[in-house]
Amino acid sequence: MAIIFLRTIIIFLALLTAMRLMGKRQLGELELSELVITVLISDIAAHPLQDIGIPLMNGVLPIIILLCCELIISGIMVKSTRAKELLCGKPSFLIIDGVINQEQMKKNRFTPDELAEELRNQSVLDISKIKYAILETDGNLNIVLFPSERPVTAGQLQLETSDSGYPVIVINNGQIMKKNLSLIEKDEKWLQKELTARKVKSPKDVYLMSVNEAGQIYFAKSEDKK
Amino acid sequence: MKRELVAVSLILIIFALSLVNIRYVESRTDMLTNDVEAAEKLFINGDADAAISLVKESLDNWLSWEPYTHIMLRHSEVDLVTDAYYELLSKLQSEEEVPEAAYRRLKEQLRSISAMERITIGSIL
Repeated sequence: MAIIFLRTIIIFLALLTAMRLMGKRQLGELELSELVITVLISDIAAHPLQDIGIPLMNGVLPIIILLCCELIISGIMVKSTRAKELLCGKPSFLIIDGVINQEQMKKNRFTPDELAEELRNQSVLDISKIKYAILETDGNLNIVLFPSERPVTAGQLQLETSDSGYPVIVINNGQIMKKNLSLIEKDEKWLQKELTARKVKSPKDVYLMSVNEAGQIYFAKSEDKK
Repeated sequence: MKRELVAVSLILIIFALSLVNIRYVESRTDMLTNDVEAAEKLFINGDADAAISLVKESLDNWLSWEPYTHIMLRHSEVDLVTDAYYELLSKLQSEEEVPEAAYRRLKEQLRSISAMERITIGSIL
């Protein structure tokens, strides 16, 4: 048991260090410690399931220890920015004022074609239009264009816009979402009236129905019932 | 903060329990090893019946411990000890000369169980 305990801690720290050294590109959308936990748990859990000669405790115990580690590490990261920097690194500026920061590119093991691919993913083809390209600690590349290249907003044009608000789902795959219905201060009577107006007898015939704060309704009839 | 404290407490409890587990496994295997050593001495002194009954008693002790060992230890290791017990018992009952290797095998299997749990650089790495 103590061996499992120490082995789990050692493997966790080793994987954490390895992933940290590998750089942000390996992470995808997970934070470093989350990724390590995900990789470890999925592997550890599989062994006692595959081999009944291994006590289940050998799988369960490391998972509990890993979850505790994750809780402790995430708690430390919330409290200390220095610890967060140490464990997750800092965001890296790969492009500043339209110029590629080659030192940061090398540090993050990013090749020019990979950068170009990331930029194309975000529909940016011209590097000179980019004020900042920031490689975040979770591996995502965020792009900030020069103000002259940013899309014009209604605010800049001083246009008045109406806010239709957040749409609330009232029927989800034939099921009435009663909580959401009361959230928009409507009742089932109102819902039935709206359904009748759309020539639908029962909520079961509805795939999706949502209502926004302006009272606008999105309605999709279930294809099975058409 | 509460969640982190629970996590730290849990991790400390698991570690403490694992240390208790080491002591428990060591004391149980030491007790069983002593029984086997005593049975060996009895057999050498010509008291085969007492040796057989002591090994049987030790085997019963071992089997009564099985629920714990099956939860905490690798089943293959547990089976090796059980096999070594039955092998020694059958040799004692056959009234032939019991080779020293039969005692040694059982004692080594018992020792390897506690050695597996003990914290050493070798067992960790």
